[in-house]
Amino acid sequence: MRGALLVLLLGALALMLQGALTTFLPPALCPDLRLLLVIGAALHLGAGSGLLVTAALGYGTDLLSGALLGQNAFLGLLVFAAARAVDGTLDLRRPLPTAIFAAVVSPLCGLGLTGLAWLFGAGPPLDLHAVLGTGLQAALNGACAPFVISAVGEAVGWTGEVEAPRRSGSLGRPTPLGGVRSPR
Amino acid sequence: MSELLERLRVPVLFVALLLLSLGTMTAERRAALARGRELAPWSGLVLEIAAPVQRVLTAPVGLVRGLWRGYLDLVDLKAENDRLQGRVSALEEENLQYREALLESGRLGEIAALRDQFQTDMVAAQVVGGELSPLLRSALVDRGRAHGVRSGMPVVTGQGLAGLVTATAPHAARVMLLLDRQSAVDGMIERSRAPGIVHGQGTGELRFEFAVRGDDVEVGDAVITSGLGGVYPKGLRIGEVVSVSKPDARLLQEAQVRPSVDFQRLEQVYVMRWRSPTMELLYTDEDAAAPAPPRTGGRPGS
Repeated sequence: MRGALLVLLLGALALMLQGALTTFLPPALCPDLRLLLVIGAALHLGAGSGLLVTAALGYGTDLLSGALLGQNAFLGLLVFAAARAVDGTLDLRRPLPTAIFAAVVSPLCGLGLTGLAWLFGAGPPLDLHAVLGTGLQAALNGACAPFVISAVGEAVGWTGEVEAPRRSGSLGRPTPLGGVRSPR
Repeated sequence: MSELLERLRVPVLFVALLLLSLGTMTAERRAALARGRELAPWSGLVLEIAAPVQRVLTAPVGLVRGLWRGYLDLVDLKAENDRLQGRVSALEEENLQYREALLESGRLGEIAALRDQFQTDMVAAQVVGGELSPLLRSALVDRGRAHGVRSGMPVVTGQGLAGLVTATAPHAARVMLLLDRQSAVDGMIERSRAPGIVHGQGTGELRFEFAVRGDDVEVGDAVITSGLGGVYPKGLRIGEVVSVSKPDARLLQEAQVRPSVDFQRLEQVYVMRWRSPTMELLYTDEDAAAPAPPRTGGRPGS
């Protein structure tokens, strides 16, 4: 639980830092720290606490930005699930898979964000400029992902708390969402 | 049995959280359609906490940037000063000619009226937070309801219109910038008075949609607010036309507009403590309940 609280605190700071950074840089040039922390939470926290942290960070993002309340939380939960599912076959703790995963998930999140807004009648459909914007941020997210996710692991480890999936996993990998480990 | 419950705990939590987020999205969307969108006290608290923290975080970067700019300014100070002196003289002369021309054409009275209209109270606010996603363009400012800021008030800078207040907390407010893809402002070409709608695109440029054919819109034309729709007062500068595309087959023609406000360097803005009668109707009394022009959904354009 201490690990989850620490990740939540880091997430809150990351949101504010990101908001501060975008006063100087275009948003596309600022890494999506919340997304990276969600991936980190998926890899280093237990499923239950990780889901709660992810939802909380998502709602925090929705409140600070102009998104519909629940939009980022919904997408964050899907990213969380995807990270754990992919980690079942690829070791997302290695830098390259992590970077690729983050870079792939970022534009999907962008599409999801605009798709949800459009679905709820709260925004126009995605256009090319917006796609290019998310593409640039996706590359940046990919580059930053190994460092941020590793930092999340360090932070969770620093609390002296070994989260459930790491304790039970023979290879130190989190179990999939249902708690059923995929055969390896 | 207990093992089964244990195994189902996480999937159930996952589905519950997904449903919760879908539920909050639906509820907020309904609320936005019903009575606009304003922050509940508990959610306003998040902005209240975030604004001072972000101000602290932005301060060191702003200091370094200020020092660097100061250094750069010093380097070219002499040349810049000479150039500006010449420019000021030219502009003074040009301004004099304009005044004479305006006086002659009888438009000085109109401009004076416009100035009177704009002489509303303005609240200076510092931009303390930007957008968290490149797909949305909003800013967090450090003035809120305690300073008289209300949703639906226009936000300007010295260069022109910057956006619209869409949510307020006691000491912070969120501003939807003109660049936001959900922003739509009734505008017109200053020269030809050709009307249209200025849309944000989520990029650095705006899109001006107009139905007038002919040469009423040309590159270099200034775009200003038309005052129609009653969100923004008439005559606020929006930007300058940089390209015009007029496909014959389409009813609506488009022009790309470069905003007059430099959104990349948006540091201080002014909230016009003014709301049109239309916005007063849209927004209920914020102190009592909650106002709100839809930041999402309906067009917050003028």
